[in-house]
Amino acid sequence: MKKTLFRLLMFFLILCPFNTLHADHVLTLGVHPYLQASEILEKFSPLADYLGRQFGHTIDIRISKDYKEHINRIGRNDVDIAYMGPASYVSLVDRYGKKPILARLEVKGFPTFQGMIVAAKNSPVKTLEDLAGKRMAFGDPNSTMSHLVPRYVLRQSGVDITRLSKHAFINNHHNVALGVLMGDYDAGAVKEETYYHYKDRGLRVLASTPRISEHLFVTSTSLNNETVSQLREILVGLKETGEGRKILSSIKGSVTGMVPAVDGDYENLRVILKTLAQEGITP
Amino acid sequence: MGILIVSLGFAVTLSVLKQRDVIIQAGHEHSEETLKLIGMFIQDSVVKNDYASVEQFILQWGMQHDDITELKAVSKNGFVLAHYVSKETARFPYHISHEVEMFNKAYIKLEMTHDLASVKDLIARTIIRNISALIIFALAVGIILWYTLRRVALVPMGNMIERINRLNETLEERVDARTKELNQKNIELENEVSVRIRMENAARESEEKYRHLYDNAPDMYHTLDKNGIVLECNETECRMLGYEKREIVGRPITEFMTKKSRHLLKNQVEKIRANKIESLENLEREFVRKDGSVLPVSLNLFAEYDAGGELLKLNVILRDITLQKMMEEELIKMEKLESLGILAGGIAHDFNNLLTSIVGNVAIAKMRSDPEGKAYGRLIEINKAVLRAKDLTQQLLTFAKGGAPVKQVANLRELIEDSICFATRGSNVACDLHIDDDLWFVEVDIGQIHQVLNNLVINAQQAMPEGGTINVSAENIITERDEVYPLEAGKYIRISVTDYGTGISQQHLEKIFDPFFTTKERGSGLGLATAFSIVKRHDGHLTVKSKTNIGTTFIVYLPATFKRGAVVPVPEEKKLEGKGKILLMDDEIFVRDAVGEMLTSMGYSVKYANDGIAAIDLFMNEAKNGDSFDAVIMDLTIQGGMGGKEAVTKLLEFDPTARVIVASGYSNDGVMSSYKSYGFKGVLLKPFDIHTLNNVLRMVLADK
Repeated sequence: MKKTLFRLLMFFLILCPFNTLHADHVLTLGVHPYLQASEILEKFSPLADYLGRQFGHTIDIRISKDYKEHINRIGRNDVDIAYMGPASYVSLVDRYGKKPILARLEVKGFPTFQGMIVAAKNSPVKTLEDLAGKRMAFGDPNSTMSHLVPRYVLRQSGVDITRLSKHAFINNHHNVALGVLMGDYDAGAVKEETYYHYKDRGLRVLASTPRISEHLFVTSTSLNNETVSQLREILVGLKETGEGRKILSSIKGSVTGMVPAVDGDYENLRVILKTLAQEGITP
Repeated sequence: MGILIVSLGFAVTLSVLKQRDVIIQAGHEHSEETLKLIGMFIQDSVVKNDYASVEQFILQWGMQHDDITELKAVSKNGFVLAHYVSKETARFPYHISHEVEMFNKAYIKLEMTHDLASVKDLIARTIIRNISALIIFALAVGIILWYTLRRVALVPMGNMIERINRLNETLEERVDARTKELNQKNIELENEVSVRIRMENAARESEEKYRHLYDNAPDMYHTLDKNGIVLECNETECRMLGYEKREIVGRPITEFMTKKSRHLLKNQVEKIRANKIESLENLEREFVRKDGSVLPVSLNLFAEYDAGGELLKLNVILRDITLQKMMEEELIKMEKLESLGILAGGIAHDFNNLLTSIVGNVAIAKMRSDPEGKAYGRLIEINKAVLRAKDLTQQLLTFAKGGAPVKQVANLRELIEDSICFATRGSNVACDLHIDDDLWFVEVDIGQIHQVLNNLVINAQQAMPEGGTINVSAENIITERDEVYPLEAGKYIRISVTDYGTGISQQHLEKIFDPFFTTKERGSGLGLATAFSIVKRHDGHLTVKSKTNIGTTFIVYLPATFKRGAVVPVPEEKKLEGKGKILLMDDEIFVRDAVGEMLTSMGYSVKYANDGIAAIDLFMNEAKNGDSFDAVIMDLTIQGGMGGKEAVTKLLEFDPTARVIVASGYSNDGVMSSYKSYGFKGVLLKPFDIHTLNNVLRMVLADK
């Protein structure tokens, strides 16, 4: 198993960094590339298998090459079900109108999360103001917590990237945390989960973002209501069974369940994003 | 063969070491290439800041390769981006590092621990293979050499060794036979030596035993040649004479004898030689010790003759008879004293009777004369002279019969002090007294012992006419038998009186205790004889040691007693008054008169009898008439008639309540010292004065 995964990883790294799965199935599950593709496959396979069994066929997982493509795919109803971050959702609604929300994640009992602007423990940077003239890493430009919300917080503090000596988007939260720890960057923006993961290896919080609603599952508007209702029911009911809880923890160890969500739950994010857009910062 | 194997071994070792180096080098190169390859893989990700991929890749690579025990990616700031550590420990670790560079700029440093255990195994296999090849080769060469050697040298050599062995066996058989023969002889010789040693030991032991007995015999032994030269003598003789053996052997025996004995012995030897006498026994002779003192011996002599009857040697046994001689001398002395005593006793008795009369008459005369008159003073002088005469007769009697002492238990301390003080008072002689604090008690006649001490001190005083100090000591001693001849073993008090005067010559010393022997112009010759006699009667002993011009020591031994006696009360001087009827019996009329007069003067009525029978008759008649005597005074000895001793018995048969007093000039007679056991109620020693008579009568009549 390990060897197979390793070979697959090598394949992605060396030959084809952006994989596109061919869709011959009735239902497709789209996931944005917030992790290594292999990891994403590993995390979402149990859910896909479970849903497949519920509907009598397999569900194909599709990982977009980037967040933008992922939004477009959902907007164009290229995927039947999609897992997406809150910023992507706001962007999706803004561009393609509302899509039916199936449920949002509940992490350790909370359906909201926040981001952190971090620095190395031994770094001379103590406040956001200290970042002027320093190097900063972000994840993906479309990432809610590795770019957008932290960027809003930076601007509110009067430190925008223009005052930094360098900034870079280095794909994901892990890279941001490791880039800061390795000393390649003076600070970085990561979600709280990533911060806690690397905290003991030498990370320190400079600032926290406002809490925003968690990641969510949406559906294509092409799916009939019955299927949507059925899907919503299945997802919200996952935490009730042992298998369901395993599926949830597979997506992310800290996920304790899924709860119903409405578009209004993402309003504070929408305001942040609009504010950023007015400043010319768009996902 | 050995050299060949060693050479081959050396060559193989060199080859193995070379191969080992090559293999290890190849292993190292492989490790370095691996690390470089990892570097190439992560290079792109590092450049793209895809750190998570690098971390995951490093961990995955480590897990995939069992020969990697540690793999680490470290950033330039020291942050460990990825760190893989295997659960296994490297058996043959090789640590290397590699820096991943891009545009000549180091981004990340890789560190790896590669376990080259497989390399080590390969080396081991190579060594085993080479050693196996060496062994096979050496065996092959060895076999070939063995066959060659066997054919060329070993077979002929074997034949030769076999011949030598046969010769050797023959030789060993001969040697064995000869060795057995020698061993047998040796055993016989050892047995013979052992027997001889035993015999010699037995002879030596016997000799030693004999020699021991000879040397430690109680008697003295010596052997003389025919000329009287000492050939041999025992240790006892050396010890007794005080010479070393070498001083005696080889010298004429006559040199060790007194002149008289020497002469006697010479005569006797001549007699033996002439008459072929074999032995002479119990000859008393005197030898002279080295210190000049004479050793009296009893001599037994045994002669040995040769076949022709010529005297060869004389074996002599000598026995010390010092003690025997002393006893004999003592006996002679006692006998001499005894015979003199009888004579002296008779005179003393008559003397005492005369003195009793004188004392009595003087007493009466004093009573009837005016104390202020001239006659009274004369009477006192007469009385004093009579008392001195009394002392003289007393001494004479004491010496003569020894006198049975009237003993009482006493501590002599006071007596000694009194005697010494009394004797030395007013003289130019001082006295140094040393008396043991816990001086034992003695049972003595105090008067007699006082007399002894007095005599000794007076003697000492007279020995130092120029004055000086007399040392007197009294101490407790315990003597063993024969330690102080002739005392029995026991506890004694020893009183020594030492003067530092002129001393007594040896010639005089022998006679000093003889009665009437004196060197003093006015001496009686009775002092020391009496003292000797008194001490003897007390079962003690009196000796003297003296050296001319140095001094003299008299030593008195008195047996200690552990009885405690009553203190003898001093008689109270009573009034010269009395009342009663007294019967006085004495054969001497002047005694009857004098004593009768004393009694009458005191107020008694007196009747007289001249012997025992007359006294008894008178006593009985008076009793029948109802006018009994209150007391009877009887003379102990009546010339040609019944004395007091017999009369008292008969009188008491008639009247057991009769009070009879014995009177005698024989103060030392046994009846006088134990008068009560003969039935007397009191005792009067003649001569007695009116006070003594008064006291005794009062005491006897008080019992009435």
